[in-house]
Amino acid sequence: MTTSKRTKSLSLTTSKDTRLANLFPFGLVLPAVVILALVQIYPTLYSLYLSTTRMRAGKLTSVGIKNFERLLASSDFFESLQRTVVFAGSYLILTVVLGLILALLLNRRSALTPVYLVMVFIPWVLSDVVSGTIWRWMFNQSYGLIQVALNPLLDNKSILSNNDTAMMVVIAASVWRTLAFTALLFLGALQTIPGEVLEAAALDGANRWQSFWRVTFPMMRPTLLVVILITSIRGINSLGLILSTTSGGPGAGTTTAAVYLYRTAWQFGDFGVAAAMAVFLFIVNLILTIFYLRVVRVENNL
Amino acid sequence: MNRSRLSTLFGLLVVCAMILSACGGSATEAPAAESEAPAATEAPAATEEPAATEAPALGPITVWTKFNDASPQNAQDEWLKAMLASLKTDTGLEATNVVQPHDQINAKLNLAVQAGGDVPDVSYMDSQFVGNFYQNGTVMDLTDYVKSAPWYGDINQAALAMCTGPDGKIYCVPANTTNRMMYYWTSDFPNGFPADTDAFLVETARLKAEGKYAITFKGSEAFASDVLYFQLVRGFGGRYGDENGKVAWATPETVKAVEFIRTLFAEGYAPEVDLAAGFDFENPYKDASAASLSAGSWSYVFLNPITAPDGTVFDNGAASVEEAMKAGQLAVAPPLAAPGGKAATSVNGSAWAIPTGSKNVEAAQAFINYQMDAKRNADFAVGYGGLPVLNSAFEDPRFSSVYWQAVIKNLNDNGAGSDPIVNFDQAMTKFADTVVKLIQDPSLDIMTELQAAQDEVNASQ
Amino acid sequence: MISSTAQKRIDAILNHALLIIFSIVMIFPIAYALMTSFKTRGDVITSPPTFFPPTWTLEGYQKVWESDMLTHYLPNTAKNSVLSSLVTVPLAALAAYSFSRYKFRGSVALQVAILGLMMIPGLTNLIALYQMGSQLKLLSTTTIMVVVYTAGGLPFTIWIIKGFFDAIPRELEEAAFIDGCSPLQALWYIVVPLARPGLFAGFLMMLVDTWNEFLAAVILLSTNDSRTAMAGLYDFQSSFQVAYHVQTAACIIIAAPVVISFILGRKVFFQAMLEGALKG
Repeated sequence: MTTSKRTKSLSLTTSKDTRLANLFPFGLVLPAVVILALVQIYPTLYSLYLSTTRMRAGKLTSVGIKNFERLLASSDFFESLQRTVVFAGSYLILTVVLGLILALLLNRRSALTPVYLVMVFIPWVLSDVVSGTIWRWMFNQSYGLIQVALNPLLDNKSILSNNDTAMMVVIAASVWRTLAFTALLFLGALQTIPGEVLEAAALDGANRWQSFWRVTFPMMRPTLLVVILITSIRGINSLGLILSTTSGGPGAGTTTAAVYLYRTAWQFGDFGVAAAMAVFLFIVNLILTIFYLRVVRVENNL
Repeated sequence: MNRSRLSTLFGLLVVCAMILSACGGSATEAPAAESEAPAATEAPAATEEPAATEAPALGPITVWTKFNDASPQNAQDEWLKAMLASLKTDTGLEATNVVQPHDQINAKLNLAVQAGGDVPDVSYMDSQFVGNFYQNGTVMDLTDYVKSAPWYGDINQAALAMCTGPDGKIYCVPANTTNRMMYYWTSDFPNGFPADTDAFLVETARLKAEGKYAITFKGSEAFASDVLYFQLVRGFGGRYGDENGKVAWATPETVKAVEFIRTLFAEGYAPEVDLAAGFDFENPYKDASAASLSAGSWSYVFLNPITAPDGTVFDNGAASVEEAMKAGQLAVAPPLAAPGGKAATSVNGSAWAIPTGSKNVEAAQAFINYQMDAKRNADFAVGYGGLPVLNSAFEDPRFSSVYWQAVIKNLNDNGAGSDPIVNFDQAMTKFADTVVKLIQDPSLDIMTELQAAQDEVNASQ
Repeated sequence: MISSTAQKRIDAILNHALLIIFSIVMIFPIAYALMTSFKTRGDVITSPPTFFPPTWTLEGYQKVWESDMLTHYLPNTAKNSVLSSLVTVPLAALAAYSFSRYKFRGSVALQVAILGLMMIPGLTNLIALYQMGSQLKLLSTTTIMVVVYTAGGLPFTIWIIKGFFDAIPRELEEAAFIDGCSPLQALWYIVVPLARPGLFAGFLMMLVDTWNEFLAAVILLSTNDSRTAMAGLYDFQSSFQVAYHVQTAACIIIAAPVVISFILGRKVFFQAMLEGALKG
């Protein structure tokens, strides 16, 4: 695959007016930028403004950074952050590891590969709500197939009524839904590894394990980092699946920061605080992104 | 896949979308009409037929409820469908219902008003949200309208109190009141339902030996704090909030109540499913694996089909519970009291409110006036599962049944108003979450957790 | 010591076995949902539950048929989804072409900024959008959903399509310029045909994402006429209560179009994703 990016722009020799020629690329991006600015930038700025306000007796009053202070002192929010770490962390590790394994398995092309690909991809095509509804049903305490099947092992404990097991279900459902796409990204990366390199390694006496770790894995690094970044952010922002499966329950057992944001804005109507949470989460995502970009830069310089 | 197949698929998708949207009716036209001018776009029938209550032409209005009149699922939905039809026939007022989910309607109303547009002309609301709506300026002050309404003399003052804000002004018109009590299987409690928690614990051990749960109830989410938890906290002498709208549940009395709840789970007298989200807690009662259910006066609307301990199945829609009662299998009891104390139930209600920014206040008032008729109020009460709010409506023969007499007695003997906590929903959610936390981790100290929760909620006000 | 052919055999068997396990795990939940949708109300609430319906019935589907799902909700979903995708892909292609072929000042910063938009939690933006939509009288319309979905899908779609464009050598366009083509003509006649699989992949992903979207739909659509399938399903989860045969029937009906589209378009999709330029 092409890795050398030519730095020279296309020459616009056909255009008569040079200034117009310089504006042309801007013109191409303009429609997209306008929509993005209108629908994403402006509301984000508005949310920033909202995060400094509070609604009292029908009037929106400015409270400066009080909302942020409240958040930092709130044990509810802190606990939701803890749960986010658990959820996003487990989601990340499982997705990456299982995705890699699945990609390696699929890399061995056979007649059945197209069949496997389709079967494995079906969950990705489903929505959060549909997936959540199905998983909630499977673990229904009285009538859910998996719950009832596991009852003897669990001494009839209701899986969705315990924080730990409910969290596991939610993580499992999330991994189930997005595993295929991650595997696909890895598969694409695997297929760019030239066969000669692996053959050379085999000739040098490397067994498959060594061949993987010393040759394949390092060549997949860029893709791996991108996948880690995307998966982390998705895990942190993940909302729909959790809501549909457990509604954040039992109690607050699966209420991650995103779910808590939803509850605060939507259930309690406290938009100022919710906006403050959004700012907080955005900063977290930003820090992660910067961190990963640093790592990528370091990688590329090696 | 080659180009022609690709193009075919592409074209197919576009064509499908076009066909579906053509079949799907006026999805784009209708909202445009609604958002432009709800009153002006259609010539209302009010100009043709003499309107019974109001003279000038009252345009069609939009009403938000949690009922689905388009595809009714239960008695509540059926009631709305019938009511809207007769509203049109009797007064010419055309009201279009937009169904909102029961746990979102209050929040959505809030959002609609705060956003400054697309507000319904009249909306259903749960009376517990009076404090929240007052705080957010969501609904109009109806004091003058109510006090000069033709039905003002007939309305139950206690019901009206539910709709009164912290400032003494009236912010909604109550339409029914619901209270909460116990449903139980008579064969599981041969000596009748226990009066207090100590007596209850005697029965629980026996039932457990028989392989049954003694009780099942809503144990998590805000709603839980309104049912069994409210009854126990009040029963033991505690309160959720004080007169200033602040949370005040961190007291030894509340601790006793929570200890009882903890016992129920620790000893296995209540099923774990009670802690999960949703309404699955009803299942153990419906299949008789639990002996009693912490229910509300409306529960019969949803409890069907229902199977008695001896295996008899009652499957007749909203009448299932009534039939089970007639067969002597199911009975109703007041909430559990604390030993030596009094039983208590929260009393809440369905109400109609006129949101701030409603475009057609007169028509909204006409809509509400239509509801405030003895027969119609009784219809709503029965369809919903609550008691009417008009004194004259209580004369309706339907309320002389064993069930309704028990509900009325419960209201009169044990009814207690909700505490007007400013951030009501947040407080109720936090309380339920705290109880769940305490149940899941028996090592936590109840008072410490209650205090922490109380501080957290009060700090958010 | 195992001979290398035997080793290869074992590898193959192991490979297939593991893939079969993966496939079963991935398919099982939806297969179970499918089975549940054909059960009677009574069979759904029996314990212990069975995988296959003891009695096959279309009760669940009947109930969904009678509801607004097929008359209003699903067509709305289709409309919003297809329109958004049709709008997004061309816009994204234009932008991607610009980023891929032109290194203008601020190009990299703009790309990073656009990608960065994916980090913003969507919910609070939706509240602001609700207010904006309310004032513009655009709430509960197709227009606002298409605009919101387009904005939501542009960053990722631009990124993907740019990757595909990057893979196409520029010599072809430069040759076209010499022949007198304008850049846009070159884009349309040369680059687009070569990137067709990639564009289709972008379209398909956008279609799937918007079809399945529910948060914006729940917040921005509050009338029966404009509601989409996902919002309808989520909203009425509790009112259906234990009518899981109805809920799963609704799930199957809602998911079917995308699943079918995906199966029909899978070759192009996989070809594009695996051999295309999705290298970050």
